[in-house]
Amino acid sequence: MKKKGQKNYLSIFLVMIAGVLMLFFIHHQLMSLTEARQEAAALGENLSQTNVQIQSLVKLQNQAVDMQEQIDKLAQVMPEEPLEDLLIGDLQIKASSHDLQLVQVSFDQYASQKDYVEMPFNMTLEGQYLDLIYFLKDLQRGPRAVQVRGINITKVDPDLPLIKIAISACTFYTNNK
Amino acid sequence: MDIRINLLPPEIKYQLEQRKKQQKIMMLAAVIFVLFICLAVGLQIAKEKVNRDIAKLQQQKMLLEQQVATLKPYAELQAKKEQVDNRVKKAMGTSPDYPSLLEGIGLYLPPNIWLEDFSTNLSKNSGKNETKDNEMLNKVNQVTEAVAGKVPENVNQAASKEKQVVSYGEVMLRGYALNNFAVANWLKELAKFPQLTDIRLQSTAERENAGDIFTTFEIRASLAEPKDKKSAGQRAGE
Repeated sequence: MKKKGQKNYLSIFLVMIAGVLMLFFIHHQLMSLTEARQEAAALGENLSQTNVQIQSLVKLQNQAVDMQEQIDKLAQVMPEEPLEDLLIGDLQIKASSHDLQLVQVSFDQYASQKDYVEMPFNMTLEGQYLDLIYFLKDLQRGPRAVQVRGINITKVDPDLPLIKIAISACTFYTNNK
Repeated sequence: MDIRINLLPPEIKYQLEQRKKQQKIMMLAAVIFVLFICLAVGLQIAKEKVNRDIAKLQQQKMLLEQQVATLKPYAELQAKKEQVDNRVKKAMGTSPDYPSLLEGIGLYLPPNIWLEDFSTNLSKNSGKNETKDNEMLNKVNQVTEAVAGKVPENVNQAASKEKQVVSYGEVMLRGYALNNFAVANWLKELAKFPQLTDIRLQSTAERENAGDIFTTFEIRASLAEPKDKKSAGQRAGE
């Protein structure tokens, strides 16, 4: 009888161990499943973000030609070299096309900034008031960026509609070939 | 009547009962074991499925990353464009719309005002000139008030403009007029210009030339930058 009782206790003990092992195994399986699901969800989110990125890149791809054109235009607005010859030629053409006489152009000392170099210059023109307005409008349109810093208009002759215009302006170049 | 009599000895009866009990426990254990096996297999299958999904997603991710690498030059192009654009904007800053200002002055110049000198200068500390204690000046300012009403409209407009805009340059206008009324009216007109703020009459003086009496004047104003105005750099880059 005593042997039988011991046998029973052993059986109960073994069953308990088996139960604990089973619970541990199930818990482990559940945990690894949860981790795998979390990994899958993170990957899914990552994929959707990459998809959005691709969509925006595809948009950029479609705009590439326009962007390149704008970059080329901006390279004219602020060239890589001073190109004073082109600037003077452009000023002369603009002045002549608006019946203004470009009397004088003089450059001041260039000032280096972080990303660009400032080219201050002064010009003197003679002509009529309305032509000056058209000239300034034309100057604003480019192709080169010109910042007008000051204008001084004086009458040349009280009886004639002729004026003398002194403009202090500034243009720029990037200096990073 | 069915009468069943068990003649087995009590030990054997006990053994039989014990065996039945053991069989029941064994059955229960078997059921629990089967349930455990089912649960374990189910979990394993689910895990395998999720792992297969992960492998698929990783494959997709690799493909998408390749696509991103192919399209990367376009992002670089945009970055370059923004860099160049910002450099031009930074260099140009904001400049006054001189053509509009000159156009306005030319268009709305009264017939009894003649301008002789117009000059502008970009500077940060302009437009802070104090009114001089000048008898003639007070007279003209009184006339301005009389023309515009008790609380001059142009003063209110100028004040509201000053609140909205940032002064960053100065304009000086010199010329002559028929009389002080003409100058006062001209001041009122100038106050309507969005490009000008803090308009101050510096001086007026009566002069005589070839028997005609006229009034010379000097007006100073600050250049104002309208909020919606584009910089010259933007205009040139358009």
